[in-house]
Amino acid sequence: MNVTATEIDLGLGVLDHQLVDREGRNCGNVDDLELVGLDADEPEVAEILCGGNAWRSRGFFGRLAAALSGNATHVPWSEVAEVSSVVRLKRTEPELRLGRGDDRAAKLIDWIPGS
Amino acid sequence: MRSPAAVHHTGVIAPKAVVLASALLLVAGCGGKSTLGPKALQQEATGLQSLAAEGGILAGDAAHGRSTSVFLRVHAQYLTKAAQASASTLAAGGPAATSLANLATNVARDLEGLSHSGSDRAQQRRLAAALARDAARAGKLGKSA
Amino acid sequence: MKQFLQIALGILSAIGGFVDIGDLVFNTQAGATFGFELMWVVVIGVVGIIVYSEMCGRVAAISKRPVFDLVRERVGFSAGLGTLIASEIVNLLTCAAEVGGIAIALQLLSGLPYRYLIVLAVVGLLVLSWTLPFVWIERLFGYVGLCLLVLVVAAIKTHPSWGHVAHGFVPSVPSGNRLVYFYFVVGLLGAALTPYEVYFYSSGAVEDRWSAKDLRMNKVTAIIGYSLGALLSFALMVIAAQIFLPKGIDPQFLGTPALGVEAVLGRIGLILAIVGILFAVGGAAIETSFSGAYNLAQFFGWQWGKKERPSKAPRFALSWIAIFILAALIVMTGYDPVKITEYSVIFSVVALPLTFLPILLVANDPVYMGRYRNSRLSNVLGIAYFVLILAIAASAIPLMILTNGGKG
Repeated sequence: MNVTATEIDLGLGVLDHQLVDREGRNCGNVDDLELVGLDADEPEVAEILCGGNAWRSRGFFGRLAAALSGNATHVPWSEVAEVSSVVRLKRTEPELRLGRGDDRAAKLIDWIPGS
Repeated sequence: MRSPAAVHHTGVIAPKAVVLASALLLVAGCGGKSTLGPKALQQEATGLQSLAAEGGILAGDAAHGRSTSVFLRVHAQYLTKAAQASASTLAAGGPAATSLANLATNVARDLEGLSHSGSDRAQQRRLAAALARDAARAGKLGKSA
Repeated sequence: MKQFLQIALGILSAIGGFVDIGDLVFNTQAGATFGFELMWVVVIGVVGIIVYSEMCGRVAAISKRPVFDLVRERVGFSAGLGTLIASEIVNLLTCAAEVGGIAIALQLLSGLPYRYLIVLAVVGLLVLSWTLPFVWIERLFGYVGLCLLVLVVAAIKTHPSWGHVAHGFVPSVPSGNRLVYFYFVVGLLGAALTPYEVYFYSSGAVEDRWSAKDLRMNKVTAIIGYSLGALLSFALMVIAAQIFLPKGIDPQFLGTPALGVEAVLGRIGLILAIVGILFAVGGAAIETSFSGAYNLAQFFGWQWGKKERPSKAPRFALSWIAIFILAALIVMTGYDPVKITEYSVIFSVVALPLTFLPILLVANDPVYMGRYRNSRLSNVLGIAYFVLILAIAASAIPLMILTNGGKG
């Protein structure tokens, strides 16, 4: 299944799937989707929401997790290269402002020899 | 000489003091000596039999040079602590627990002696026999609980 | 020749890594309480872990995705997060029990104070996990864990009635308290079907970039390795049945199985047993900690992998470091590791359906698996085990309460 196909099962084929950047690096999950044109005949996915308060629409535990997190990262759907068992993106993680948690975490262990 | 206010104060306090003292006594009674029922006594007896029997195997192995001094000391200490805990529980367990409580104290003492026995083979042989007797006695007391 | 060697090494590693503190505790207690009557449960448990490990390995090799990655996709965010929380609690408790077990084993060898040895254990695990590649961690702990084969020697030397032992492989009406019997059935199955092993195995398969050509090796290693590893469980039960049951000994300490070996084989047997326990439990501690880190990283979509430099997967690295430290803090409270083990095994049984259902679903999914989806045999076994898992998950906590943790 690739992104140019006209039909993608958003529930089974995209939501909660792994996001992978151009270099093959994991950069979060598809935590929520921003849809537009719901009133029209053909709704479209405008954005992928990743992390942070994207979880607030995902049930009780989602709301709990969202309350403890910051803002979600928004990835325009146009950045998606391919939808297969993972969602592959066209650009790298830093270019899309994803994986900021790793940047912060790296500072805690960078000083250890062998890191 | 107490002032009239103090007399009045004492007259008001006295019933409260009785209530407070009664409450304290009640609480002390709840947290203090309580009788262990037959099932609890049986479980304690089974536990003691187990500890004594295990100590007996350890003592026998040590007496024949089949253990290491470190393992003997450390494992016997674990058994000792468990026996001491049992002895404390039984000491507070009421009149029906007296025999078991005394036995638990003996077992704890024998196990502690074992943990300090080092390479004294003669003592280890004596303790092996003593612990075997303790285990048998715990078994009998458990059946009669 | 190279593949034969690889398989042989994998099998050796599986044998040495088969036993963890849960197996040590439950198999010894089962033997000391019911003699040989529960041997058949170990067989059921081992077949179950073979069935699910084979499925996990196949899913990892074909879909290139580890198990926990697929949990969220299959059951959704909220249920997936619930599964994650349950898994992390169980992983943490299990890791704490293993760390405590390492400290006790070190104490039985050295005589040094227990609390210092907890710190030493955790520092040692952190250093080894940080510096050694996985293949060397597996080899070190797996091969030295083979010292536990002394259990098999000791069991044989107790000269059991082999007829009675054989009888234990046939389920029969329990001779003692039935509730306690079923508590041990649940505990033994829980000790064999550990979720952390499954998560760790599938993540390792993805890290090692398994493909379809590795499937046969996966099957052979799983079947032979776990089957031979089960010998250790049988041996623990036989020793307990022969040495502890006749004297009414209720094994409550980690040194007790070692005492059983000492009684038969003397000082050398004792030392081999303790060293074997130390490395088997040490390997399990590393597996549990990494399993917890894998689950977190895979659920939230972080970069993960032991093969990555820590700075390239920092949240993953911090996760396993944090799990080791939290585990040490739990054990430092003074709570008995054997008691923690009993709770962790029973709670992991409760969480088992959430682990195995996604594996079963994905292993059957043609989108992920193509022509490598489950065969009829795999499905029959997989579904049968899932029904069993549901039954033991429902009964685990009631049995623990009703039997006072197996005491009756």
